[in-house]
Amino acid sequence: MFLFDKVKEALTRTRRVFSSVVGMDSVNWDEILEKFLLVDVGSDIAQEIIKDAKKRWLSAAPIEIALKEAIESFLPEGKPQLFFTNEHPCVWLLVGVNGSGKTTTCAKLAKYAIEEFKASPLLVAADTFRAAAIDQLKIWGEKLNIDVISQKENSDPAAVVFDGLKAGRSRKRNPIIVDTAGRLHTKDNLMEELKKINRVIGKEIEGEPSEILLVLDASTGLNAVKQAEVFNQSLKITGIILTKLDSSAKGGYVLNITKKFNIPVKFIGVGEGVDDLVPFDKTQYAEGLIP
Amino acid sequence: MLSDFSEKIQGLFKKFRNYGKLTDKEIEEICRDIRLLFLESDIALSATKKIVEEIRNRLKTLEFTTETSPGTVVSNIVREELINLLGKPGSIDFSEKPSVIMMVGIQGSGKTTTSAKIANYFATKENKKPLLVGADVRRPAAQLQLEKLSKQIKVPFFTDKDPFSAFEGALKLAKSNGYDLIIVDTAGRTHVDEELLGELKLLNERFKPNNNVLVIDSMMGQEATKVAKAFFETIPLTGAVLTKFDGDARGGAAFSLREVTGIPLIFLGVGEKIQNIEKFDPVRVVNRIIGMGDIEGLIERVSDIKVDISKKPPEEIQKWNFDTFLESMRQIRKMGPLEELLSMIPGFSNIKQMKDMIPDEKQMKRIEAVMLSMTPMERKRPEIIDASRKRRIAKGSGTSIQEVNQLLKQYEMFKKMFKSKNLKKGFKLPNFPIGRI
Repeated sequence: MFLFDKVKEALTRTRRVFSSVVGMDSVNWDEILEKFLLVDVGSDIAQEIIKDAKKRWLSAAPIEIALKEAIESFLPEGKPQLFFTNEHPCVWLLVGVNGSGKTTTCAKLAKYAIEEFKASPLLVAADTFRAAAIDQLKIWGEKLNIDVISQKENSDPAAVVFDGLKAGRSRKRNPIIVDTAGRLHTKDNLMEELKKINRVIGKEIEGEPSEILLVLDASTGLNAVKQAEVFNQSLKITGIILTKLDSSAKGGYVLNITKKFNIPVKFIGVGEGVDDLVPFDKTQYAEGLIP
Repeated sequence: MLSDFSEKIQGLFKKFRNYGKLTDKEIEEICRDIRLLFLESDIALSATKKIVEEIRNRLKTLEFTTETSPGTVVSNIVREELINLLGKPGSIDFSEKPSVIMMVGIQGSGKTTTSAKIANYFATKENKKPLLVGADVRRPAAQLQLEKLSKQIKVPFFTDKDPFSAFEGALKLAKSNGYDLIIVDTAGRTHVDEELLGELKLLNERFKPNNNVLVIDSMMGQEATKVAKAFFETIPLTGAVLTKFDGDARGGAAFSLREVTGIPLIFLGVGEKIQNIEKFDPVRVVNRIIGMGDIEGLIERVSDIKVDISKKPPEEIQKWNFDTFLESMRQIRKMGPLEELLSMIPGFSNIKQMKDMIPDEKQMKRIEAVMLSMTPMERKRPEIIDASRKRRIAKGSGTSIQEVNQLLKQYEMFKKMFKSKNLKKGFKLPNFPIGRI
C-alpha cells in the first residue's frame, strides 16, 4: 500500500502540471502543447499526440480521456518484463550517463529479483572509474546480504565482469547484475569499452546479457533522446529505467524514445530506498499526466 | 561538442541569408524556428518566450542595408541576446578567513566531483589552502568518494557523522591549521523534499557560508527552473556550476537558471578528469553553442600542458620525419580527445566532411603503433622503408601492410601539401597525419 501511495504521489507531481487542462470548455490546444513541452516531451511528438487527441476529442471523448488515450497509444503494448530463467545464468547490464542512478538501481533490481523470482542475485562492480563507486555497491551488497564481485579501482571493467560471470556460475547465482561506470554517450572510447563488456558476456554465456538497461534521469531534458539513440547504436538496449521520478514532474521524453527507437520503459525509480523501484505501468503513467 | 545545436542554428541562418529584407511573415517564421530550436535545447519555456520576444522586437525595427545580409544580422542578434541572458560570470568570494563554499544540488548532478575539482583549481591556480569536507552522510560511500579524490589532489579531507558536526569540526580545523577555503559537499536532495531543504536552511543559518553554490547538470530539461527556484528560495545562492558540459547537451539549464534566479554561473565542468573545470564565460559558451568556436578554451588547454620546447618540430618541412610526427601527436593527445579540440576551432562544426577525417583515439593508437614499430632509422628516413620492412612493421604493430602503406602515403601527401606555393608563410596545421588508416 505504502509503495502504491509513493508512486501515486510521484505521478501527482506530474499531474499538477496538467491539472488546469481538465474541464476546459473550449480547448486551448496551444496551452496543451506548452504543457507537454514543460514535461520535456519533444515538440514533434507533442504535436503528434495533440493531433491524435484532437481526433479522439472530435469523436466525442472528453478532453482528458482523449489526451490520456493519445499518450497511451504512443507507448508500447503489453506489460514490460525483465527476462529471467533458472536454466542458465542471466546477466542484466546497466548503462547510462554519469549521475543517472545506476549503482542505486542495481541494488534495487537485486532486491526485485529476490522478491519477484525468488532468485539469489550477484552484483558485479564494473564501475572501476568513479572513486568509491565499488564501495557504494558493496555497502548495498552488505545491506541486502548479496555478494559483490569487484577488483581494484581503475582495473579493466571487462575483466571484472569476466570474474563476475565465473563467480556467478560457481556460486550458482542468478541473475548477475552488472553496474558500469557512467559515461557520456559522446565519448567514443568509453562506448567501445561498453561494447567490449558486452562481447565478454556474450562469449562466456551465450545469448547474454538478456537485459541491457539504460538508466535515465527523469529530470534530464531532450538530451535523453540523444543518449538513448547513441547507447542503442552501440548496444541493443532492451529497456529503460526512469529514475528520480519522485523528484520531478518530468520524463516526458520517454514518449519520444519509445516512438523513435521502440525501447520500452521497464521500471521507474521513485525514491532513494531499496524498495523504491516499480514496474512501469503505461496506463498509470498516462493517467499521471492527465487527471 | 554541442555540434547538433550548431548545425541547426547554422542551417537556420543559411535560410535567412537568402532573404533580401524581412517581412512580418518572415519575422514570425524566424521567431517560430528559433523558439523550437531553443526548446529542443532544453532552454526553459519562460526564458525562451522572453528571449524570442526580444528578438522579435529587434527584428521589427531593423533596417537592412544592401551590404549586410539579414542572416548575419539575425545571427548576431540571437548571439547577443543569449549572451545577455547568461550575464556576467560570477566568482568565489574570499573576503572571509576562512572562506566557505557550500555545494548544493539534486542527486547525480556532480557535487562530489565538482567539490574536488574546485579545491584542485584554487590550490593549483590561486595558491589557496583548501579543506574538503564530506557532509553527504546519506549516499553510501559518498564521503569515501570525496576522501579518495582529496588524496588524488593532495588536499586535506575532513568528515564527521552528520553534516552539522562535520561543518563545525571543519571550521575549527581550518582555524587551527590555516586553511583559507573550506568546500563542503552536501547530500543530494530533490527540490521537493522539504525535510532535506529544511536541513540546508539550518546549515546556512548556523554557519553562514559566504558562498552557496548550486551544482546543475547541463543535460537537465525544463525541470531546471523548478530546481533553481526551490534552492534559491531556501538559501541565498551566490553562484552556480554547470556540469557535464563535455557531452552534447546544449546547456539550456544555464539559461533557465539565470532567468529564474539571476545568480551568476562561475564554473563549467568539462570532463571526467579532476582538472576538467573552466571558468565560466558567457561569450565562450554562446559561441560554442552556435558554432563559432572556442579559441580561448583551446589556448587554455594548450597552455595547461607543458610542451617540451626542445622537442618542438622543426620549422622547415624538409626536416620533418616520423620522429617529429610521433612527438607532435603525443603532445596533442595530452590536451584531450582530438575531436573535442577540433570542435573548439571556429567554423569547424560547419564542415561536416571534416568530421569523417578525424581519426578517433583508437585510430591514433594504431598510427602510433605503426610508427613505434619502425626502427629509429626508418623514422628518420622513411624513404628507406621497402616491402620487407613494411612487412615487419605491419607484423610488429599488429596492423596490415595496407595500413602501413597508407600512413606512408599520407606522410608524403602531407609533405607535398606544405611544399605547395599556395600556402601562405606562417600557416600552421597540427603536424600529424589527418585521416583514417
